[in-house]
Parts: sequence; C-alpha cells; structure tokens
Amino acid sequence: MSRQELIGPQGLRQDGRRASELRKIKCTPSVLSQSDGSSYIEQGNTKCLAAVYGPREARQKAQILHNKALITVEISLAPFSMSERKKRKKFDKRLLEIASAVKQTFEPIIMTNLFPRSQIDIFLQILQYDGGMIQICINAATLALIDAGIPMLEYVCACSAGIVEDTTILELLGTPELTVALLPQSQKVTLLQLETRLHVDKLEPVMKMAIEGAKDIYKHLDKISRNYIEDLLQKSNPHPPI
Amino acid sequence: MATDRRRIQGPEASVAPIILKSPNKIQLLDENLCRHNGRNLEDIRSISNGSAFIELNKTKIVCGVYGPRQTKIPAFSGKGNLNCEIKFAPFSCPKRRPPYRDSQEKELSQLIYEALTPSIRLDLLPKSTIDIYITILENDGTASCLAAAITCASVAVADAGIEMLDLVPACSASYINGHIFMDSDLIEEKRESGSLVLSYMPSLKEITHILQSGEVELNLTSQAIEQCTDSCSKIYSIMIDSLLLPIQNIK
Amino acid sequence: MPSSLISPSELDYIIRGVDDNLRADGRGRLDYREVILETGLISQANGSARCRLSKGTDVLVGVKVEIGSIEIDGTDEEVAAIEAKRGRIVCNVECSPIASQQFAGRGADDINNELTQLVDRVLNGPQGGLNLEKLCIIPGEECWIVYIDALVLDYGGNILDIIFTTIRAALHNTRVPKTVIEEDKEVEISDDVEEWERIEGWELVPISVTLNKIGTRHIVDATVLEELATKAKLSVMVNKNSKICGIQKIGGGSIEHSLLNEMLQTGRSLGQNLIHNLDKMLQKEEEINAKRKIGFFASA
Repeated sequence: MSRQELIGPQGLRQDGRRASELRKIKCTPSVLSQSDGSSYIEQGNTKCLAAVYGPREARQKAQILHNKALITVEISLAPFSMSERKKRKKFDKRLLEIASAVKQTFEPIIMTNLFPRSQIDIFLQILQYDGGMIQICINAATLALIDAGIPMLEYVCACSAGIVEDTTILELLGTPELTVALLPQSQKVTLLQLETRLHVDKLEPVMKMAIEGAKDIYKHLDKISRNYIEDLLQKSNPHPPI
Repeated sequence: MATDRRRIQGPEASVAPIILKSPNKIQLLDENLCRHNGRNLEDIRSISNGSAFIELNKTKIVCGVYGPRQTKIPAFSGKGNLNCEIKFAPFSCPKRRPPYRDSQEKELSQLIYEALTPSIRLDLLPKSTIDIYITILENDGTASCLAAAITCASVAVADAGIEMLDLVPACSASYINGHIFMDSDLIEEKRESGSLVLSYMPSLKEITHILQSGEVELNLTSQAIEQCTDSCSKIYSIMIDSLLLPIQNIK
Repeated sequence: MPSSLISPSELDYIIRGVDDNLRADGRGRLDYREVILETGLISQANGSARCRLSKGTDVLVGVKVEIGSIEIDGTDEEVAAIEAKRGRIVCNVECSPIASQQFAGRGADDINNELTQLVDRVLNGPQGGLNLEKLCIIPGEECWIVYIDALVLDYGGNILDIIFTTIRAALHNTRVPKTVIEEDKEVEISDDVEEWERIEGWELVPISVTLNKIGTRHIVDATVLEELATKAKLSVMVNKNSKICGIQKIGGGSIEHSLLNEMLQTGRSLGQNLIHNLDKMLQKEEEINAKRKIGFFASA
C-alpha cells in the first residue's frame, strides 16, 4: 500500500473512516467468572480481553512492597490473532515491553497506597490483532479495573495518531505512530510513546488529535460502565418500580 | 528498598555459645575393617532408596526412587508430593532422542504419576516428596514402554520401603484388524488402529489408569480391558517374586 | 501453582448431593449445563468457534490452514508410503491467565502440555475423523497443515469436553482454499472464497465426555468445586458412529473395575446425545451466519 492511497479523493480512508474518525468501539464489562474484574473490548478488528485479580496477598514474599500494592501486567497473544500463525513464546520481548508500559501507566493512577503488602494482577489476552496494541491494552485494563472496584484517581484512556503528507490521522494503523494515554478529567498525560520520526512542528497537532481521540474513548467507556452499574442496581433492587 | 530484609537483627551484645561436648573424632576404619557407615571396604554406597529394572524382550527400563525427602518449598497440603520424570535415552529409539525433556516425555511423566498416586499412601507423608526417575534404555513400542515403566516404577517404590496399598502392574494391548494383540512391539505398533494401556491394582480390583486411542467398538474395548486385567494379575506375581528374591537370599 | 482448596463441609455437601442426584446448581448427575455456541468470529482464521457454558468455561478455537512440506519419519517403507500421501494436523491448547489465577506465569505449562498431547493424540490418530489424504497437495512434497489452536478464556470446570466440542464446531466452520498445481509444481491458491471447501470428515471428529467419580457415583460436566471433590476423572471420546475413539483416566485416584464399564457405557450414550445436539446447533449457526456478523461477547 503506497502512502498516497491512504486517503482517497473523498477524504476517506481504506476502511471508510474520515481522517479524524475512531474505529468502532464495542465493549462489555464483567465477562468472566473467575476474575475479580474483567472486560472485553473491540476497537475495529483488534479484540482484547482483560482480567484483574486482587488486591490480594502478594504471591512472592520477595516482591512485597511495604507501603503500597504491587501491580503486575501480563499480555498474551492468541496464536490465531495475526494473519500468519505464529506461536509466540509467553515471554516475548515485545510483549514484555508493552506490558511494562501498561504497568507504568497505571502505577500512578491506581491508589496503591491503600493496599500495602498486596498485589493486583492485570492479565490481557489479545484475541485478534489489527494494530494499536498498547492503546487497546490500556483501555481494556481501565474497564476491568473499574469492574473489579479498585480505587483509581480517574479513567485512563489511550489513543494514537500519526501523520501522512501533512494530514494528521487518528489511529493510523500499521505504521509507527504516537500513542497517548490521557487522564480525561485532569487533562494529564500519563503515557506518551512515539515510535517514529516526527518533525517538532508536527508534534503539537498530532498530539492534539490523539488527545481528542482519547476523550472520545473516555466518553464511550464512561457511558458503558455507567449503564452497566445502573443495570446492576436495577437488578439488585428488591423493590423494583412498577 | 535498600535495606536487607533477610538480615536478622540480633542483640547488640552477644556471647559465644559454649561447646559442651567435643565432636567425636571420626574413625575411618574400625578393627574389623568396617567403615564408619557400616560398609566394608569393597562396598559401594547404595545409590538410591529403591530401584528396579525391567526387561520385556527388547524393551529395557530402569527406575530409581529417591525419598521421601523434605519438600523444598512446601505448599499447603496434607499430602506428600510425588514427582515422576521419565526420560528416553538418546539411543533408545530408531531416531535419536535429544537429551532434553520433550513434550511427549512430560506427558508420559504425568501419566505415570496418575497411575501410581492411587497406590502410594501419600497421606502418611505430608510435607515430603518422593522422586521417581525412569530411564528407557530401549524402546520397543511406546504403549508397552509406558506399561513397563509403570510396573517398574511400582516395584522400585516398594523396594524403597514406601508404604503402598498395592503394587501396580500395567499392561498394553493393540487393536489390529479387529484382533487384540497383547503387549505389541514397535513393528506391530506402527500398523495398529488403536491401543490400550491399563494399570490395575489386583488385590483391590481397582484400575489406576486407562489410556486408549483408536476407533474401537465398546465390546472390543471391554474384552481388551478384561484381557489386560488378566495379564496384570500375571505380571503381579512376577513383581512379588522379584521383590522377595533379594530377601530370600539374605536368609 | 496455588491450587484452590475445598473445605470438608463443602466436600461433604457435594458428595451427598451427588448421592441424592441433586447438585448445587439444580442439575442431576448426568445433566449438562447450557452451551452457547458461535462460529466464524475470527476473520484472520480459516475457521473458528467459541463455546461458553452458562456462567462458566469459555473456549475459543481458531483453525488455520497453511501449506507445508510433508514429513516422513521412520524407516518402515510401508508406513512411509501412507504418510507421503497425507496432510497433517497440529494441535495446541493454551489456558490463558485470564481464565483463572492458577494459570498465571508458568502455572499453565503442565496443563497446557497435558491437554495439547491429549487432543493431538485423538485428532491425529486413525480415529481423528478428518480425511488427511484430502489435505495432500503434491504426494511426498506438499500438503495442507491444519493448525488447531484452542484458547481457554474462562474456567468453570470441564474444560476438556468444551475444547473438543469447540474444535468440532471450528472444523465445521473451516474452509480450505482450492489449489491448482501448475506445470512447474508451483501451487496456486484460488482467491475465490466461494470455491473454498470444507475439510472432509469433520462430522466424524470425536467429542469427549468426562465423567467425574465423586464418592461412589459419577457425574458429567463438573463445576470447579465439583472437580475439587473428584477422586478420578475418566474422559471417553466418542464419534458419530458411536465408536469409542479414546479413553483416558485423568488425575489421581482409581476406578473400580465394575464402575469403569458402567462409566464407559454412560459416556458412549451421552456422547451420542451431545453430538446430536451439537450438529443441530451447527446447522442453526450456519443459517444465522449467512445473515449476520457480530463480535463475540455481544451475545454473552
């Protein structure tokens, strides 16, 4: 695919999106039975399941932190998640790197000081992959942490953007791009990752676009989790309104 | 976290312990030329607590049992651990087996573990581990090898003096053209349409393991199970004889 | 791996319940939980299926077919001649840590290996059902390799039965591209999806019925707690022709000789019902699939 073809004459991309349009998001909280919190999220063709266990007693004594909870993140990739079947080792270097980025994103957000000497585990399972690994991991983990009822300062929403021929594009997949994880209410950035060369002048608009995308994702996640809680409340109400 | 957590903070003033008894000087040889550990000069140490060797025509298997020993990192459990490891010697098969453990060996280890656990009184050995190491020197049919390994390991556990409910003889059979071939070898195994491995505790009449593959009618399976239990009873008497033999020699 | 524990009173409750033919969730001894089945969810795979037991086990299977070279092993000429004309199946079962905390880190290695070997043995043997000769492209040189990857997403007991059910559904959903062999032995793959064919023999792929011996009785489709109360498990693999395609005892504990025969009988007859129900569900899925394409968990 040559670069010129990325955006067609009508300003539409190959998958029919406009330059500033997000992929379709679908998400469901609380999908698994064994975990304390879980979520399933779909952004376009990338699909991810997240499970959160904890806070619970730290498993390895050597890892205990005396003043706060320990967070661990593990990402696994299904063998059929890419177009070519590849059995990845569980401790693939690339996945470890992303896991560590996700961990660092959540460390300042989760109120770990409330749970000294304990451990919170976040497991992420990519079922289908079509670009945007870090962002989907962060979004899925946010929803799962909320489902688990773990106190956080606020949502963390991640989105990416890139630039092609002077046009900034939201969720430019397949090519290296800029990923931003945003705290939407305080407007703080907790992760910023750039995997390509970008002119300093262009950094500003690209970041702005990614932040706008993250805000949209926040609105979506917030709506879903509020609906879910309302639904739960209604179900658990012993005297339902007639 | 710069401090060393593992350091034990002792009192500031300390006193050296008083040694009440000087250690005995070890006498390497006594007047009867007997060593300090009771062995004669020519005796080598007994290698493992229990061991056994089995030979079924071409199939040859050795087994060593170590333990019960203390479990290194004991998980909470009222029962002892049983650790089985089976290894094909690199020269045991027509094709060379690499010396590291592959997935087939891991699975066989699991199967042997499952076949032996019902027979061993692990509930009497909390916080301890029994190690069983099996080496296949010559492989003449994988199914018969598995059966022989179970038999051999069971004898070795008994030899180690570990309390058991019963010995576990095991037997294999192949289904070829609607016939049941008992204890088939490698050539027969290549042409089989299915196989059965069964381990059985004859005095309790309980089956400790069953593994069947291949598309078989239920009637034929039942027949094969009957035949295998019969052969297991025969193997059982051989196992008892082999265990009694060294004791009779001592008399 | 910190395995879950069960208290003596829970254990007693389960054993008595099984004795009275009434289990904690209201089922009888030989009742299955409700199964939700979806096929064709993964666009990158040639076939896929997902099965979920109500509020419990969830398994996703992806099937991919790729061209590979035929491997002949052994020196036996007679055997080699058969192998030269056959495709291959490669199975892999993975328990994801999201399913249960005991699968975290290296905790799932043993169970992954055990399940992979078991599934591989059943599907690759003569009882596997699939017509391997149809998967051969150029005898002695190239063939289709069918990669079956099962992923356990949620753990609510009885994984093995669900894995086999899902594999059968995924193979029903799988389409193999048509190939044309050109003169210089180059293999050309047809792009026309309409021409892709189903793997021959999927209907003969066996499924498994796992019977759990609790107390002196046996039950099917055990939950997590019931599995902890289980003395010994017996998995019976059955195919559509009501032939036994494999038997395996799993876990410690032993089974009495008379009970074994009874369990085999039960397993075979239950397996028939399961296959019958599965085929009905698959037929329905096929009709629905023509109309919609929605993501999984959408219906959960």
